[in-house]
Amino acid sequence: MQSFAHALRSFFAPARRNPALRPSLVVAIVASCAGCTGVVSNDLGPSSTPGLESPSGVPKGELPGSTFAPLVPCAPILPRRVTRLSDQHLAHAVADLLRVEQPEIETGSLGEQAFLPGKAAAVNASVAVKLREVAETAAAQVTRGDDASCSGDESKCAGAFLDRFAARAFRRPLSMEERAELLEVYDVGREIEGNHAGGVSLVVEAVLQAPSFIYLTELGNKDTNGAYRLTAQELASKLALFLTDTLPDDTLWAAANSGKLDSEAGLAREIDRLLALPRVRANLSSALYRFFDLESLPSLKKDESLPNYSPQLTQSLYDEATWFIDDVLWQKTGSLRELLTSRAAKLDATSAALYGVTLPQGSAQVMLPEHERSGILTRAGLMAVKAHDKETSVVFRGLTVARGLLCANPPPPDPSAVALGDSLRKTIPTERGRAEARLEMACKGCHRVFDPVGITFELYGPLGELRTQIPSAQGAQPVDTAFELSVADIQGPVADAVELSDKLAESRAVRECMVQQVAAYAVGERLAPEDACTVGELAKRFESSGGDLRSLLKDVATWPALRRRRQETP
Amino acid sequence: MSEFTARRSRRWFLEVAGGSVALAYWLSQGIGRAQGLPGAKRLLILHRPNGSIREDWLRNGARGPILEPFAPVWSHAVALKGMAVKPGKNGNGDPHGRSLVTIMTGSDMSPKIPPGSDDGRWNTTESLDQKWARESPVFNGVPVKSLQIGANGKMSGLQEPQNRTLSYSGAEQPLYPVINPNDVFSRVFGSTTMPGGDTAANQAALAKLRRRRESVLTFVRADLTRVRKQFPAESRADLELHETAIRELESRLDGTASGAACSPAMIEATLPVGDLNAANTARIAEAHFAILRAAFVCDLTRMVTFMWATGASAISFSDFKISDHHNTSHNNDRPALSNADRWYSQRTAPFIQSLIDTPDPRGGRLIDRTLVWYINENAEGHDHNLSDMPFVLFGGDDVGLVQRGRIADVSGTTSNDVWLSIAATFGMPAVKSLQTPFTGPIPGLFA
Repeated sequence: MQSFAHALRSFFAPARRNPALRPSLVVAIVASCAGCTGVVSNDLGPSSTPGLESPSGVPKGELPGSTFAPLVPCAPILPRRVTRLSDQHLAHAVADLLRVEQPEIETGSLGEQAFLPGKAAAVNASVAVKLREVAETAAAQVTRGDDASCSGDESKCAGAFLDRFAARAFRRPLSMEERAELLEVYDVGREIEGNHAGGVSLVVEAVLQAPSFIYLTELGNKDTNGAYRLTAQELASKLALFLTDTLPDDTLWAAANSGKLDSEAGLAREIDRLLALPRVRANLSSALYRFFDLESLPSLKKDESLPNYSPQLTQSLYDEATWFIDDVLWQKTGSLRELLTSRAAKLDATSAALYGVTLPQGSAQVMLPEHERSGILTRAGLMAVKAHDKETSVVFRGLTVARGLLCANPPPPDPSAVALGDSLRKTIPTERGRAEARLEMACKGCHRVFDPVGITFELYGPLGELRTQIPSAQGAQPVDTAFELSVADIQGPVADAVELSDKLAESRAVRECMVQQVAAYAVGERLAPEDACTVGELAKRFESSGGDLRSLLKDVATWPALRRRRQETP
Repeated sequence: MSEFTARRSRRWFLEVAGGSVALAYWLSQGIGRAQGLPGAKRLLILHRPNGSIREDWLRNGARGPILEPFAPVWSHAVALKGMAVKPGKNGNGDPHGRSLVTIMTGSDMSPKIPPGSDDGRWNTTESLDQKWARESPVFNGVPVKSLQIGANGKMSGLQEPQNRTLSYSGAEQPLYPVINPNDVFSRVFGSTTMPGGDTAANQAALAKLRRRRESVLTFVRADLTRVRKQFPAESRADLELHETAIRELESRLDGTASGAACSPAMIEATLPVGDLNAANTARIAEAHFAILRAAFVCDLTRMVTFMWATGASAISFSDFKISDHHNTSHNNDRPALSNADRWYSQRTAPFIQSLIDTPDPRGGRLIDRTLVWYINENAEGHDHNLSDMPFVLFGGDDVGLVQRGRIADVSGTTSNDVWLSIAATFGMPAVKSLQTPFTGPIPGLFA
């Protein structure tokens, strides 16, 4: 149950690692509304996609010394860098490397942003102590497992364990020096505990606390053209973290070590294999749930006086929305159009009642009523998340589209705007009325980007239920969702969110934004305008695939930008 | 089989009072050091969130209902009246975080917005607790140079760095408080406990653990040295922090057991970490306070920042029908908000009382050598006002807090003036780094 002010702050979980880095498509929009000055400029035509075309005059083709053809002749978008593995990645890595219970690690990050995890907190003494505990707990479990037994020469077993475990954990071959040092660690453990298991467990403790495990390197080797190219192991790690949320599995690791990732065909084969894995699909689906803020749905609290509300409802709506995403992504066409327009649903009694649908005998899968629902944006679960506890929110819903699907990045409201919002709520009975009032004031500069879009969702109440009337202190008000839109390439009158979803499914701006979002997820941070050259290649392919999200995922995974790095700024 | 365990199947916390159970190994070093350094002093910055309610903080110039729970410890308190927090450059962002950053750093803020925030700003310098812990001889020579603790670290919605920390090791480098008391225990007491006492078997087990950890740290340090050469310059600050962390772990390996006054007391095995419930938060805070008290007795740390909850905390207080404290503060429900701030007083006062009651091995009581600065990020939550902040200083003779048991009118001063007032006491006579407004040491507060 959030206040308007707090909820507003919450919604603005921003796409803003750096205010200067804004998706190219909406630069004009953003520039026009900085600070809510009321200045309006709308110079974006339907095909205005500045920055997403490759710069003219740059020849396309293969780069010297590369086995990849054709390579995009754009500058690498990422510097050589080193990042701490996130809490989640560390936890998954420990569990997967050693087949032990997944540890709980919560050391924090520098601000999670929607589906981007944020930079993990640095290793201070408290974090180091936590990692020691994680390592010691995992090591204790290892002493009870297969890794701790040795039937022959113990020093050979120790060496084999090092090569199997430490190299995987460090995501690179061990140097002679490291190997010798770790064998010393083994000897100490062996001597203290009096058995092989003691040595193995101490090696586990040392490896899991080593910077070589904790930090992910993206340093690469110098290419002939002055850029750097990730090593095969670095690329495998990057891909694994992007697609599987953990370190490379056996097959990917073997592919990296055998040189299979060095050729475009080999890489593509590995990506195809990965994209078919249930774990990868579940991970990518879950990224999309987070993209739409669905993860907060099961525990979402709504005002208990709302008709139709029950504590089970939000879980039902979560199940429905996530089933829909999985179904579109992995069972159906996987197209952006389907995500935005399909009416297919799998319901239980609770969600069926909310949708006003009678479930056919023996089946949970139905088509939701035409003219009532269309795609993910109109699902009750999403509409419930993007609403206050008792009322809808034009702002939240509008921003879902503007920020998520059009890559707009309006600045946050200043404190006076928050106060103004509080006062509008007291004096104007409907969300539409408040939005219209804002569009007459200085707030217009920003709110014009998302309020008109948000109005079209007024069809759905705070639980996502279809409604014809809006209860208010001043008596029931009629629902009115029609509005003249003018944002990016969405131009002209729109009757409601169902029609809006259709228009978004046709929009090139939306397709380009989706490319940027998926690319940002893979890279781990927002893209900068100067990345347009590189992203442009992906956008073209997404266009020619007709907006196929599965192809986009593959294209991003094989994207040259993921494996190329530039010299870091000194 | 030894009763000693490094991986705690049960949780033990160290208390001074009433222990016949033997000391923990690592504590002994602390005691030995404490005996050699009678001048050691402690600074604890203790934060609670979302502002107070003016008319219930002070009423007719005297303690109002929110301050009343501090009546039993009033002999060691000076409440401040009229102090402001004055953010510097770029200080117009998030009205909760800007105050925390300003109080703790005394510096301008960055134009940069931290990821996870919508309108907050990054800090630009390390926080003063960190600077002092690093530079002042008063804070040197203890195993845990500074400690960051929180009873509740959860934020609802945005995960804003500037509201989740008091301490920073540098610009844009938050040192988040550790919420789980078990983790704090591990750090402060080396995660070694000795149920069963100071027996030969326990000593042998401890010696074994020390050798294991020593061997691990030797490898970790060698690895760190190697990667430092390979990693880009951008990672330097992170790696330096990592290096410092390893040094702390190494420093805890040394020391010998000796008879002394620290004895463990058993408390709850599992604590309810991770929700936004006030009652659970109180249980966690109690465990933290127990650890802190023992750490002070044993002189394991002298610089602590403690957050009851994050800035703009959304903790729910079911007794007062508050489902989200920050929300309620925006709604300006004054009776409920007064209850919430009083709730923090009621649970902080017993800790202060315990500092008064607990003997310090160096003589006197813990409070004598401790200064507690009780702060909030707002004067009131509904308007985020930063004038007349609801602050209290608790302390004793050895930290120079004089004329205690009063409400001191310090109108015109800023939070920086507290740092300036205590600088000499804490071994930092020349404070030159403040960028935000200050007036100077506040007359009459400290001897």
